[in-house]
Amino acid sequence: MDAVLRAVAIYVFLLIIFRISGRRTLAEITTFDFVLLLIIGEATQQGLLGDDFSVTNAFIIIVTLIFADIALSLFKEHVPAAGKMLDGVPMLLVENGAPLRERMKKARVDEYDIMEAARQSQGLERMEQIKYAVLEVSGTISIVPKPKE
Amino acid sequence: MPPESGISQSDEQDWRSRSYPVHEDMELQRTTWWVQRCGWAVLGLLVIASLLGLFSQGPLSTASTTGASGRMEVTYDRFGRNGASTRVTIVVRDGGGGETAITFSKALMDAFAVDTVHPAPREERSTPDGTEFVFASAGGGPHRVYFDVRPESSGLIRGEISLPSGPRARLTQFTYP
Repeated sequence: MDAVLRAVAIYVFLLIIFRISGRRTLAEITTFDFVLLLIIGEATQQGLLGDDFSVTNAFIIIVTLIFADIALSLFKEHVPAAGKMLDGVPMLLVENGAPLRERMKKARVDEYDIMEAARQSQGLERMEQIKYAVLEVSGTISIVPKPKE
Repeated sequence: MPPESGISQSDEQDWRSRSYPVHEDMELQRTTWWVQRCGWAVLGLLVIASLLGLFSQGPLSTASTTGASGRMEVTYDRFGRNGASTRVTIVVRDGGGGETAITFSKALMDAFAVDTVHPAPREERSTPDGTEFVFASAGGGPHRVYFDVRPESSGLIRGEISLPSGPRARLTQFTYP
């Protein structure tokens, strides 16, 4: 019983923490972010397992975590509003070459981030060449270029 | 709801929900931002609270109580964590006649697993009040005994520590899961 409660508590806690930290914080992952994730994993592991290192305990915890994930995805499917709240919604950052600055500021994205995404995905050079830049739910920026004249 | 109220012309443009190329929900987005910023503040407060010892080991957590008409002083953590070792320090003035006997009440022994005791007790006895630890002591000065104990459940732990005579020291510890 203890193992299930631990797993559910950690699952809910991580869900809340990562939602609070915002999608830009851990989605665009740098080397340091990666190390940070590993450390978070280490810290979580202790709390998850407690002092029970048996295989059964590991099984129970894995099953509980996967089940919680499935249950949450089913719940999000049945209640779309909850899904939107938990996952967020995509948002435009650039519209017809014009950056929407207030949004960018709030989302902690700057022009450099957008231009980086534009170069990497479309090979664009200037803001004016971007038709739409969208901050996706996953935290990545997707670029729709303007059609060439 | 989002606190922004005095929005200018260009801001209005920014906050309008588009439906092409993606279906936006700026109302929800701004509420999310607002909740996130509150969340950051809560995280900051949690860090400060942890530094201060709200979750054990810090100034807020350190507590002490006396028993046996001031002959015994008990220092312990007001907040503990389930499964984490915590220290109970007991200072006994005038142990009396070569030995000091300290009794942990049954409630305490039920809640705590005693990991180590320093100095090692000469004897441990079961008494109607609980478990009695008997220490050899030399000299008349205050004797100091360290108990490293580990809570084995969560919630409020209430217990008593006593010397053979005099009123008992009561201690209460809240144990986090």
